[in-house]
Amino acid sequence: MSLNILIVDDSAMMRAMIKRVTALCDIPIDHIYEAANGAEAITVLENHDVQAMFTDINMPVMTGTELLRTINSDERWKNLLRVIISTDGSEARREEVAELNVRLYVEKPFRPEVMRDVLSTLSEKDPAA
Amino acid sequence: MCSQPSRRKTPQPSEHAEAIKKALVDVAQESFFSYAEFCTPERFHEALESVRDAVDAASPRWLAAHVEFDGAFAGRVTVVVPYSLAADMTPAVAGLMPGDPIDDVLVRDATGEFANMICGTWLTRACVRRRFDLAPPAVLAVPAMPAAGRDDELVLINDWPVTLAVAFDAA
Repeated sequence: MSLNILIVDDSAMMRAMIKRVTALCDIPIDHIYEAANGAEAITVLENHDVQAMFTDINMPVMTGTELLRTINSDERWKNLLRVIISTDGSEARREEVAELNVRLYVEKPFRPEVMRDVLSTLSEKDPAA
Repeated sequence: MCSQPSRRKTPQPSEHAEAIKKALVDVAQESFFSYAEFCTPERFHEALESVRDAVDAASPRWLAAHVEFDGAFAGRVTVVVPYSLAADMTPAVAGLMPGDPIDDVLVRDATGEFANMICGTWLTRACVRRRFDLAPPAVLAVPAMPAAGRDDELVLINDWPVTLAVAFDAA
């Protein structure tokens, strides 16, 4: 089964980069959705079937942490695979999001192969894949 | 390098100089596929002279990216880059293919993300136990490179002159 992926980042450049790296990975992907903040991400999730979400933390309008809290409080998205991609790799931040069912935490900057490994991990662990 | 959680103090830029320089080099190499080296004022001005025609031909000529941070201490990181360098680095980091369109919005966005990654990488390494909030980058076009301050770092990225500065707010 192919994955539908959502990339949430206020930087269009970062979204393009993650999208490009994702497309180069040998992982079956059906569609890649994009959102510039947490609020836009909620809209995408409400209207599309998404299996994995990559989100930044520091974003305007709705932060990544607020987005994760919203997702956690809604049964519709209990199986959504959540990955953080952020420049903030502090222990304090990691502890904060650890309680929000985050599967993986990727620090920027990252090499393209890191994203390939992350997608491989998600694909293997996704029971629907 | 960080104060205790209950205390908040104003660091001196020199306390963090090496850490933020290392962050710039790593971000330039790992995400922007570019070579960065810090240099003397003399070498910096030589580089500035050698690229003056290319800088003058671009419009805008320079981009200044600011990222404000707040946590154990607060302040801002500023990176000033020639527009031509920013335009050169953007396709690689965005994963664009030859011939893909590249517009001014994407160039500014990449420049802001460059400053954002430097700031986030530096703070994570310097204060791994502390949480910082980073504001979205602000990127401004400037007609000329601002005069370097006493604590500004001078760097060559792919032989283009770039300045890096960190300023701390009073506690």
